[in-house]
Amino acid sequence: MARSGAARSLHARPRAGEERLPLKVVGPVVRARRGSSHYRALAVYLLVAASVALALGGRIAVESLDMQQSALSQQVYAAETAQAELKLSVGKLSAPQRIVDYASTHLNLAYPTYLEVVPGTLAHPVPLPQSPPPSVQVPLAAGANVR
Amino acid sequence: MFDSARHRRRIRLAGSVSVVAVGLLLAQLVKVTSFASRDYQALGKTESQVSTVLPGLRGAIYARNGQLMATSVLRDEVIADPMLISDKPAAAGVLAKLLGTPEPAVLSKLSVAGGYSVVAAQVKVSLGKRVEALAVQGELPGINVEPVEARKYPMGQTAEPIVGRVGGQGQGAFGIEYQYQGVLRGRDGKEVRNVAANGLPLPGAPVSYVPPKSGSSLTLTIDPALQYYAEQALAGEIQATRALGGTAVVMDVATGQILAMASLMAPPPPGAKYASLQNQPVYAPRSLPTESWINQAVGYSYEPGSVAKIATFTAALQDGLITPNSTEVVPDHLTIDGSRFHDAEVHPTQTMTMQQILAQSSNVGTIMIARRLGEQRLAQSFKRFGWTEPTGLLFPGETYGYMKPTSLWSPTAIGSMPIGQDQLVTPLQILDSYNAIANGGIMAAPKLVLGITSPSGRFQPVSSPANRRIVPAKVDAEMIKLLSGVTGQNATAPAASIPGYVVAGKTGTSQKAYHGSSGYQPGAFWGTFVGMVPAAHPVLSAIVMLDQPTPIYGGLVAAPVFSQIMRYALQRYGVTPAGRVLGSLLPTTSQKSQTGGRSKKAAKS
Repeated sequence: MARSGAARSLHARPRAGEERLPLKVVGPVVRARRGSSHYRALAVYLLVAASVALALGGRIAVESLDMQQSALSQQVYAAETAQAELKLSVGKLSAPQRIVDYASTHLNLAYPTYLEVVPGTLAHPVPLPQSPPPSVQVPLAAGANVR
Repeated sequence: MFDSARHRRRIRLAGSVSVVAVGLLLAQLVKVTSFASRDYQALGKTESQVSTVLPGLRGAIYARNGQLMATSVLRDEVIADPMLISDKPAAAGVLAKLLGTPEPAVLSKLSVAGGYSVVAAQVKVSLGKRVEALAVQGELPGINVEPVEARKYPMGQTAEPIVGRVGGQGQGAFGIEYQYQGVLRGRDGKEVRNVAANGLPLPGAPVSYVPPKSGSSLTLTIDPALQYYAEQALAGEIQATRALGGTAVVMDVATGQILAMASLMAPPPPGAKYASLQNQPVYAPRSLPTESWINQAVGYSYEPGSVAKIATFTAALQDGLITPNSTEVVPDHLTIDGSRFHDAEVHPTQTMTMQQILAQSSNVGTIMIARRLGEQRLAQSFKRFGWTEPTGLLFPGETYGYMKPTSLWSPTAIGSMPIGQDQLVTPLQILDSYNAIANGGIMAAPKLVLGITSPSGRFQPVSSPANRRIVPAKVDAEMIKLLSGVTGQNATAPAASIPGYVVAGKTGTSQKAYHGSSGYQPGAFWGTFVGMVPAAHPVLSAIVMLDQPTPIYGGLVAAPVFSQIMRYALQRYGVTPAGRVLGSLLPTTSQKSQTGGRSKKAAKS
């Protein structure tokens, strides 16, 4: 603005009542200073632009890392889930009851829920010495449905 | 002129009203944008965000050998909002195909009234993801998938009364699951994600994420193989003897660690009819033995019968009233305050050694010794063995038995107490007593939990009451010698013997009292055998108790089960007849020396 004002004062004809301003001699230092203001503005512009770019870039990087972390978390979660399932399978396979489970699921063998184990009758009331265990002797689940 | 003034008034009025209205609107605008902004922001967020509860998994329960006994896994629950499903048959068709369930069943779940219906509970996560993917794509509107925790027991019903189970809300219902609820439970996490207007989740990282925390894990002292074997042996005997149930507990002598604790029941089927002959139940159908609802080893207290004679004999030996070689003239019966006490079999008055009195389980002989001992010293002896005292296990539902103070003893109590009547005790308390005898006179509190492992993997042993000497070492050695005679050929429990090993123990046969009324049930008895092996240097002790068996005698019904279980255990742990442990499944030697177990030095201390 100061420069345009100075140009006007140089080239425009003075109006009535106006007083022509006296001309000043501008030294090389001042002129150099005035010229460097262009660079300063450019530098400020670049600084602002760089800051904005940095902020955007940083944000993009953070989001990207977030996405990666989320993906990795999902992979870890999936791996942990798979590991838990494997541990469960190993536990089932190493349990003594695995034979019973195999028999019931693969061989269609099922336990009766009720068994009359009384060898005696009213006439011969239950001799029952220590007898060999019957063939079926695996305990059922607590509260198994008996009839 | 008049019209013009009126017109101007109207204009002013309209202007004023407009100004007021605009002022109000501006005030509301300021209120909405400035003063009430947080509420509206929160409201806005709830519409654009959805939060999911991430279940914190319950800690696992391991056996002593690291075998998994209980664990939690993640499962998905498929939930429907029937009010949002317009084409229910189509949705049912898609879901039925995915879930592998009949289409009508799914359709019925989608057709319930209201906005919530569980279509499938505890489906595998992979399947849940597939359902969720279809829901996200808009192919299954109104269907949602939520993660849930599922408790699994890889060993099935084995050791169910000990391990326990969890209820519908993931709370321990009984057993260890209940006792260690605070240790096992996990803490739920939470994840908040942005969603689009139609409810579909937006890609990107979650808005907030609180990770779930798993619970700590437990390691039990139970040996799964021995536990299973003990249950099999007990179940077989329950069937063979038509017993209503029973329990078997095996303990490591030096440490008090419980290696197996079986508890089974075989109640009569509903509507079963009984026949009887001379007050003896003859025809009594039973259901197959099942895992008991109650851990009978600690939850049942009963009149133990002759296994209680240990208190009389140790006190009498300790006070010098008897020696292993002393004799007693034993009549056929004794009459105390009008009550007649007799032995199991009629016999003439005879001179019996202490070993004969114990081996043949003479009630009369024992009562004679107890009368010389007196009420106070007898009661103190029971107390030293921890009867009516907490065992230190603190198992849920554990009872401590009952014994009257001596001031309330009836005149006949000095006859009934020494032979295990007129008092209540749990099978575990009896085993504790005999385990102390096996352990050189030092009582080691029973243990079911070895330690707690935190989610970070740090193992913390569970503390238990300190060991204490209850019987002098000399008396203890004499007691083991006396108890070794019980499994001899002319004694009450030859069936408990194990080829190559000397077994020490005691039988017990006691009448069952009526519930809620006085007197005993005719023909109903408890049969017990408790013992230790090898007698020279006991490594294992065990008790077997059968509820209402036929025949009734502990030596006939419980002793064979003891023998069967111990044969397996001795072979499994590599225990020699001299008491050396060759295997590595039992607690380490260092632990034994710490607890004052098998070393002679500790026993003499």
